[in-house]
Amino acid sequence: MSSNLFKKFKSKQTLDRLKKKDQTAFTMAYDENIADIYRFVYFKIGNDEEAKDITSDVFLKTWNHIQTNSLQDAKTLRALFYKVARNAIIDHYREHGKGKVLSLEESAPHFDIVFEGKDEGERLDVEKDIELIKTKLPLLKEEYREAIIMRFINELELAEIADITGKSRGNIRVLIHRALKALKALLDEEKTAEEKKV
Amino acid sequence: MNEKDLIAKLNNGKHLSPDKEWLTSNRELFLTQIANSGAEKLSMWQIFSINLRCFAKASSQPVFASLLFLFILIASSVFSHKIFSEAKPNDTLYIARVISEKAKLNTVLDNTQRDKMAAKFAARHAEDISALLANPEFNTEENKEKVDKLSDDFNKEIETVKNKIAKLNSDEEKNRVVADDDEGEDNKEEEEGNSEIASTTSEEEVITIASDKLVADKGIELDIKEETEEDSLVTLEGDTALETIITNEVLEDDHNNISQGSSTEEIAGALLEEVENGKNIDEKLIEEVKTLFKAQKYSEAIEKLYQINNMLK
Repeated sequence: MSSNLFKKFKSKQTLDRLKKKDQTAFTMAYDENIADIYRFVYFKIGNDEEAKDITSDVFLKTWNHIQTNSLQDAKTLRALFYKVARNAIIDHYREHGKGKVLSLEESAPHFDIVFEGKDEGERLDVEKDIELIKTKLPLLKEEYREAIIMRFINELELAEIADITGKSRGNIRVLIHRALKALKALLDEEKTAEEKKV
Repeated sequence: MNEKDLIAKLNNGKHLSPDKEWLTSNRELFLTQIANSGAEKLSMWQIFSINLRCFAKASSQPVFASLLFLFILIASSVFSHKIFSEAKPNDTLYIARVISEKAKLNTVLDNTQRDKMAAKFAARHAEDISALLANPEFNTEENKEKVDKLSDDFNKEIETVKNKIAKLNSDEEKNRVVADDDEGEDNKEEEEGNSEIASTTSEEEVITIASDKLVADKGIELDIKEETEEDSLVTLEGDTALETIITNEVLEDDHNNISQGSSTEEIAGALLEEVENGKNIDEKLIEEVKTLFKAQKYSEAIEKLYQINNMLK
């Protein structure tokens, strides 16, 4: 409880400093959140280059938003970044069409797999899992995909997801449960299909 | 695949990050963009005032306020005594010192330790008051009211010291009696034959204690052998049971009439006489302090109070 309070206090403090156009505070916020926002955007739209462009836009838009608004939009800075990212993705869909293939990329993506373990076998497992996410996640509904990315990949709290999406915690809990169920059904279906082929 | 395995696989997605080159170049670009829109580095004072404002807002939250209150309570109980212990009787923080001492007393569970601590605090208060009154710049006609008040306070503190020491002594006596009773029950068959030993042993212990207390006062170092009931019969007259080594000369004569070069027997006899007469050295010392204070001999009173403090240690 006290760590949550401290996080809220820290976030409030950072927001206030950003309001004063504090460059240092925004640089810190940027460093803390860039990887999470990139991951969120990347797994939603499925393209590395576009994900990077959108991510850059997100931070600039957030900076401009903070300068001109009363900051009532989000409880924490992190939630604000995600809200801006969601809106940026919607804008992207409008411009480029939502029906675009979102699964495997045509060109080699430029991202790193940051893995601190020394075991090569574990690293291969991680790569395999990321590949699984990249292929299966786009097959889910938009809101299921979003819920899984925020909850299990970026490891946000239920309260944070509720703040970002504007839904209640109960709704989010149900949504996550359904999303997992849907993903599991997909994987089981694929497994069954493979077994049948064999 | 069960749900747990699936979640573990999804968790591995956090290992994916944008490449380092892009991170670095984008960061530079971003900093340039925000600098153009008026971003600047805030001064320490500006950051401090923002932090203070956030803290004030956060502290109005009930949970935060309770945690803060708890923290202040714990910190003050631990540190306040050290901070306020130097406050003098005419300082504004003196009341804080008194309150922190009371708080500290309340944290002590053992009655004996609490009485000892209370006596020490009262003795230090009396010492501080004497020191203040000894200051000719303070002790003037203009400050007569304050001086009178401090004199009253001094008397109260001395009474407190006297009462606490009397209580400590009576508790010690009770414990000794209880211990003696317990030992007596264990040795019932030998009780009659050893009654004289038991009584002389307890008398010896009294003298032992009295002798210990004489150490601080008179500069006489007494090396006292511990006596047990199994030891041979001991009486005080012409005794050799107490081995004393007088290492320092007695510098001044006092009400105990122990003079330079006194023998062990005379010292022990004088002390026993005082104990038998119901006079306690501590109480005598306290009476002396009172007398000296009334006579406005503040420095000497402080010296006696210092001795009392040492005894209480």
